[in-house]
Amino acid sequence: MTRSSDVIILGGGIVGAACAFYLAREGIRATTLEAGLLIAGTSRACDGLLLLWDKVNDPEFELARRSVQLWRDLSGELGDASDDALEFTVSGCLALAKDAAQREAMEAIRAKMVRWGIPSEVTWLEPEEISRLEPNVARDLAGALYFPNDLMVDARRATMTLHHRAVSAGARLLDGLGDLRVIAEGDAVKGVAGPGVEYRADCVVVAAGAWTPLVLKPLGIEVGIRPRKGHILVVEKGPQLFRIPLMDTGYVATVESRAEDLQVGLILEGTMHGSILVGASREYVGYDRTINPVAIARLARNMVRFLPALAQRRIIRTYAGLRPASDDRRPFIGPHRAYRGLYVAAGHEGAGITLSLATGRMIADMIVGRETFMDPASFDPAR
Amino acid sequence: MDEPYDLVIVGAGPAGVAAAITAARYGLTVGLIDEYPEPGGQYFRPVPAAFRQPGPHDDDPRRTVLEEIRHLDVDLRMGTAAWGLFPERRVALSDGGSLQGRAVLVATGAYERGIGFPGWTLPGVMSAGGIQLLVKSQRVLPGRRVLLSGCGPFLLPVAADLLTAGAEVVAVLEAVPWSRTLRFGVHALASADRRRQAGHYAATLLRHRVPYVHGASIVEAMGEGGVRRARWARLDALGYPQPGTEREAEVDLVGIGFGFIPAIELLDTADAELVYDADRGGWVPTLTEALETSVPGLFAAGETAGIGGVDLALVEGRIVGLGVARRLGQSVPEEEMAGLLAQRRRLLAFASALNRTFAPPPGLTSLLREDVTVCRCDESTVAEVVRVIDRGRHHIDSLKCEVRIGMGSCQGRLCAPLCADLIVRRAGLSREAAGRLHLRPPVRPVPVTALTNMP
Repeated sequence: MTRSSDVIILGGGIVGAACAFYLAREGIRATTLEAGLLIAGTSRACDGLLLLWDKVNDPEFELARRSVQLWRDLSGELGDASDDALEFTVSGCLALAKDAAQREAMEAIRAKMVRWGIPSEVTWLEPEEISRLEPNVARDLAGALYFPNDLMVDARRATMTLHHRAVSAGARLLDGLGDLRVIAEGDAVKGVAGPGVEYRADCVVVAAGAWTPLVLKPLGIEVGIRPRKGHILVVEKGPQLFRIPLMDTGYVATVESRAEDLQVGLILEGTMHGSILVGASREYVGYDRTINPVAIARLARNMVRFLPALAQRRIIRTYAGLRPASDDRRPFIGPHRAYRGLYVAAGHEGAGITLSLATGRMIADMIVGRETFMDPASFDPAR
Repeated sequence: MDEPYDLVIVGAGPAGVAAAITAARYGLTVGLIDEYPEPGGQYFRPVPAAFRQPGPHDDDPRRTVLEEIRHLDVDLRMGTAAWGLFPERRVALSDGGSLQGRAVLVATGAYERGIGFPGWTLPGVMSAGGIQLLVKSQRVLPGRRVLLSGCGPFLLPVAADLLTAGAEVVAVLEAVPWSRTLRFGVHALASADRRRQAGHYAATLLRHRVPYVHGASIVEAMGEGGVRRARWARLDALGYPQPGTEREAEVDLVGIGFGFIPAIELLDTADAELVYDADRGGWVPTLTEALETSVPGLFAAGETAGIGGVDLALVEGRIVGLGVARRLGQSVPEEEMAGLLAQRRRLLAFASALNRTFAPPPGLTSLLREDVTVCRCDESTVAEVVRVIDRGRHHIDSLKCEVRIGMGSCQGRLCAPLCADLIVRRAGLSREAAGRLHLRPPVRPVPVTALTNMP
């Protein structure tokens, strides 16, 4: 069986969904193919914060700034339906410093924000000011940076909403296909094949997240992406303990660190449904997604350190997702010069939700031959 | 790290206790974990001593295993829940500790199968087993006028217990028609034990003039803030309620018991291979003759291995005890093992016939009306789930992309079977193709301290 489209997107996570969303809007016949079930990969095993402050280099920040604007636009476009479709909220974010060293790190981040021209609403809070804003946060902290404009979505809902919008605009979406591979003839891609079926297209976007290296390898392409496991705990709903998502600078250090062993930082995010998501950890353990008891124990101790009242709650679930970690901390977005028609959109590590829309926008612009909103050279997949 | 036990057993019901006794007799070191303060499980659930009252199955000769285990060198870890099974066969406990075994047996029993119908989430609609537990173990009568609806022989002892405790039972509704139960009954009543038991229940129902209606089911529970009335109807051959046959009565308690579902959560977290087998009650582990799962050193016995009753559980527990002893170099008489395996085959045949006979008829899923709640934790409705199914999400795990199911405190125990029913009904798939929720630890809600206290 053979079916043809203009563009095939290999991968139905949030980055693939965003590519399909913008391509379909351009009137391009796009087909998204997902090897597993929607959305069994990383886009469901993560939190939903859309952040700027944790970006670690200039190109990533530029991409994030554009993406956050696109999220605001999308939410505006959906209007009242946005609550349901994205669970979009202007949540703000409180980045906590537990000691002098973390306070120093925060000051460096603030200086970076100023350099990037982030609006002046970012404020430094002394411990007593934190307590006024969030009375349940530990009293013995060294201060916090408050970002009142940060956003939050439900990653799972947002991914599916992008898919549905793409499908309404004419895209196709197929999941549960089994192992997929890119078909290449000579120096050009010709489509994607799965067990017993072939999908033809002269343009293929590989948006397979942490699995991208496995998709590209048969084409003779090495890409600097490795799966990096991150755990999330889910705390049972109960009386509200905090309003603003809480993080610590350990999170940035964790992500920035290329350490092979287990790293743990803090993300605490209350969902619209009352449950609390707790992250974040990082460890390089290949494609193993089983729960590491050491990681979840450290996440639990860390969250109690910052929000002691959580010690009285119950944990109802845990999950782990494979963050597609890029070797040089920059995602891979754009055409790959090894094959005509081959594009890559992957390697966003823990920032895939934030960066998805700008990534999709950029890929769509490249495919239709429009100038992109920023110079894509830093994201060159063949770098 | 401490020296691992030869055998760690999760669940001190009949299967777990039998395995512990057998292994301990061969000199193995055994750790036995159960969330209740005493061994016994649901079947031998002991009544708190303060009541000075007999408990369920107190006169059951099989109870002797509970005496025996006290005289053997078994490390009883009662009153603590196992919530995870981690690499190297380490079982995590709710107090933050853990037990490691050279072999681990999961004998965590079963859950009752419910069905969804308008009003099933009202206070006063309970599982039949939950009612029995309250009446017999806690001496609490949760209602005065009761309707029991379900399938299978388990409804009868619950009715008898309620009557003995002084409640009025409006009717016992057996969803399976007479024609089917009779065929099975002839086979089942060949055993004198079962004949005596069935006679006792029949006499109790008769004495209290309780109608025992076959081919009927509850179709709606009604009331504000709690159940006040219940409606039931005759079912056609496929289990669809027949219009015009409805009856109604005032009740303040409805007991629901449509059979049992194996509690396979811990096996699932360890990625043991599972298959759907309706004759065994649903998703069950694939097992070797020695009852080892696809994960080396991980075993399953009793209801966890497939719904089969107390005799099968005892036999399976002993098979695991013997098998592990033999593997660790103990000399186990060949005929002892062979005898148990033969017994198991015979009991399995009976259990399969029982499960087949009393499988909930498919038409009952028509009770899942649009406005019925599917997920109690997040209040998702049938209409919301069906909309997602119609968008092409035909696997229970991918329903989660778009509708809140399986995310609350019950971890999908209540909603997952209902969602699978909806996929079967709406998309015409098999129950197996509809899939299941893949579970990760904790398999039950655990206090945060269970994690923070971990070493």
